[in-house]
This record gives sequence, structure tokens and C-alpha cells, in this order.
Amino acid sequence: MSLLTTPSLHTYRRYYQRIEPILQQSQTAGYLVLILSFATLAFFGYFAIKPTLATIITLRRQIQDSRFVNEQLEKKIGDLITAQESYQQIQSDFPLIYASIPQAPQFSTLITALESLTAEYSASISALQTQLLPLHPLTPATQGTVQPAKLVEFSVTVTGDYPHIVQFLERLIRISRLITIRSIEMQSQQSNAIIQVNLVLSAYYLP
Amino acid sequence: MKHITNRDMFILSLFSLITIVAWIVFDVYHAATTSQITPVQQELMTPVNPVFDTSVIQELKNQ
Repeated sequence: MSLLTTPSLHTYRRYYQRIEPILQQSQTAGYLVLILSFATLAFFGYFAIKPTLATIITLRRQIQDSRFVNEQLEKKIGDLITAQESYQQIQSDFPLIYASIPQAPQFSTLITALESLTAEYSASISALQTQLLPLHPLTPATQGTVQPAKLVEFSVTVTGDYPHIVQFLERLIRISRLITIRSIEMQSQQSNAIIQVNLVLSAYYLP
Repeated sequence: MKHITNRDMFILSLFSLITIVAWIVFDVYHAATTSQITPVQQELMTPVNPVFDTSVIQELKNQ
């Protein structure tokens, strides 16, 4: 131990002897104190104060955000309970809703309804044209996603006398399936009271 | 080469301290303003309208 320390002490003593007169200068001593104070503050500020403050602030923010999330979720739970009650109240109306906007195009059902309607008012369907449409939904609706209602556009030509055609049209907009009349074009036959009506209609379905 | 004086060292340490303090302040500010709400929580918090538009159903019934 003494072998190791003795030369070091001897060496350092020489340094102390050289530094001592420098430190005795008041200006140098003042600067040294300030520099060391700043260095200490910077060191502990970076390695101790910064992480501590950041942790405190992050945890406070986490608590604040968690409270906000909790409030929002509680509100949502309340809304869901209310929605469930409302849903049960309107459950009996589902057949009516699905008849208006079915989950599949159900074009054949729509045409059957139109045929029976024309037969009811002594008219006849002379032409029918539709766009390309799937008989069944191509892809099943993903759970939890709301898709917009899809459109089935078709044109139909109905022939009949004027009063019956008017009644047919009045009845057409009140059938259970939701239908929009895009355009009506009427043509009268030359020698009799029979008129031909070209209708462009839109029906909807919600896949 | 210019000799480094006590004053230079003092200025250097002062600016170092100022930089560290500014760093701490910005770090704390960043921690205070950054939301801890995850995207999953954001999605879960999406509000639900509990009111069904019964007037539409009524219109369908009247039709």
C-alpha cells in the first residue's frame, strides 16, 4: 500500500504546491466555485432532476387521461344501456324496417310486388330493365361496421289506362319496399286511352 | 492557440447549465402535453347515439 501511495502523494504534492497559489487568487477561486456549482447543477439536473420531473409529470398526465377515459367509457356504458332499451322497444318494428330496406337486393320479391300491383290496377308490365346486381351479398358485412345503403336501379314500362296508371303510381310509392321514382315518362297510344309509362326506379338494400 | 481563461470556462459552464435547464423544461413540457390515451382507447371512447329515429319508423308504419 505504502509503495503505491507514496510516489502518488509525492507527485500530487507537487501539483498542490503549484495549484495552491493559483487558488489563493480571489478571482480564480470565485470562478472555480461558480463553474463547479454550474457543473454540479447541470449534472444532477440531467441525471436526477430531469428523469424525476418527467416521471412525475407523465404519471400525473396518465392519471388525468385515465380519469377522462373512465368518464367517457362510463358515459358510453350509459348510452349503450339506453340504446339497448330503445332497441328492445323497436324490436317489433324490425320486419317493417327489413321490408323497407332488406339485407339483400331481393329483386325477385320487388318484381313480384310490382307485378301484383300492376295486376291490381289492370295494368301490365311490358318491359323491365335492371343493372347488374348480386342475388346475394357477395361479402358478408363485417361485424361492427356500418355500410351505406346500396342502390338497385331499374326501369320498368307499365301499360294501362290513365286513371289506373295514376292509382298505380300513387300506390307504388307506398309499397312496403322503399322505392324512389327517378323519372317518369308517359306516352299515349295513338287511337285509344291506353298510355305507356316508363319509370326509372331505385330500391335500396343494406348489406 | 488562445489560452482558455477562467472567464471562458465560466461562460461555457453557464451555457451548459442553461442548455440543461432548457432541456429539462422542454422534456417536462413534452411529458405534460403528450396524451397517454392509446388508439384502442380512442376507438373505445367513440360516442354512441342511444336515440333511434322513431319518426322514420312511424313514417314507414303510416305508409
